[in-house]
Amino acid sequence: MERLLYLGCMVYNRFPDYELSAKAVLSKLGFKLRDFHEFACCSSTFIPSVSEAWIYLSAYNLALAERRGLDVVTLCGTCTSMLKRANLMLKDEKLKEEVNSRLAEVELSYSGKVRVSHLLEVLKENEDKIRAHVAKPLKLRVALQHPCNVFRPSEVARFDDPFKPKAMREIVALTGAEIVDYAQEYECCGSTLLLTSKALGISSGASKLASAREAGAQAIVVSCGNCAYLFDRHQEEIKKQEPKAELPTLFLPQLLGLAFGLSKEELGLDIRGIELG
Amino acid sequence: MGECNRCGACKKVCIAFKRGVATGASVLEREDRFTCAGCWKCIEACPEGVDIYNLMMEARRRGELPESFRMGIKYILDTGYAMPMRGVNAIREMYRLPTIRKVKPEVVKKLLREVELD
Repeated sequence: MERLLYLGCMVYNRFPDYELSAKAVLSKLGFKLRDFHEFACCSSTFIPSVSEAWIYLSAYNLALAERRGLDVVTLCGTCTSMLKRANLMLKDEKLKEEVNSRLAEVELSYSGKVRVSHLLEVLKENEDKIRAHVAKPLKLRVALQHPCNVFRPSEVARFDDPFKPKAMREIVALTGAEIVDYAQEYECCGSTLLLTSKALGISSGASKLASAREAGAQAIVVSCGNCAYLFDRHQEEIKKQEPKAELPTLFLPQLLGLAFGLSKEELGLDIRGIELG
Repeated sequence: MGECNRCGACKKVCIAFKRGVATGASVLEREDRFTCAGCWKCIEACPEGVDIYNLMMEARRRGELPESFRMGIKYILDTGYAMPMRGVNAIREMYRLPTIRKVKPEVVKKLLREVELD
């Protein structure tokens, strides 16, 4: 039950409450999450866009985990996908040899033993335990933002349905919260569009959140830092464009933690100042 | 790996295309290959099993980098992280989270030595 928690840049930099609540909830479920010292970026969308060398950086993270003898839990979509992609590619012995000769320069090696799972996958495998820990069923209507790269590309993710994923619905249903259906539930949030077009990113976020609020949601539940970066950190700009898009963002483990009866402090909700209507 | 038959199935599910990004017959034919949400619905929708991820990345490597990508890459090459991590430990302390040791920049430089920004 011991795992290494891979934060990724976005959560490390901007969302300590996601980390805090994930640790709190997984600890309740019996996991011992270890801090991933000296982790680096997974390579994200950045390094693959300029070089095939991206795999060295991804493999570096996997090699660090293997040295500690631990499987990895991730919190964001892209990190999950990049680490899984590297893992899959490293089944090729020739590539593995090449990657290992680079890793040797930093005194590491990787044999391919580390399993990478996103938080959602871990939760899905522990539904019975979640059910047993729900102490305060929630009276809350929520909309869900499914994290794209945890399901797609499916040949890399190998988890859930790539177009209409069910895992997040099944887990949230255990908390007692009512899940609203909204027109854009299975659309990508569009956060990565912010990189090259702020206007496109903001309009994607505005149209998703407006659609969720119109369906009666009191919060949007996310399980990826990138989605939160758009919905939460750009909430003011989104609201300016579409006043009906005002909606608080909750991380999935914060919602679970509330249902487990954990305090706002334990879930980082006191500092974020989230008020649920 | 399949070849593109230009059926347009990838376009139909593309969020960038839906939001007005000019796209040719397929998502691979558009000029701006960086304005992409990376949701990869296109890959799931493709009836031919075209390796859109790798083709898209290869196409990006031939073109000019947008400033935001250049910045993200520069941060990674300099520090190992895609954004500046100044002050991160002070914030962690506020949340009662332990300090995490950062990757050594010289490690990243060795791992990504062929990646250069011109």
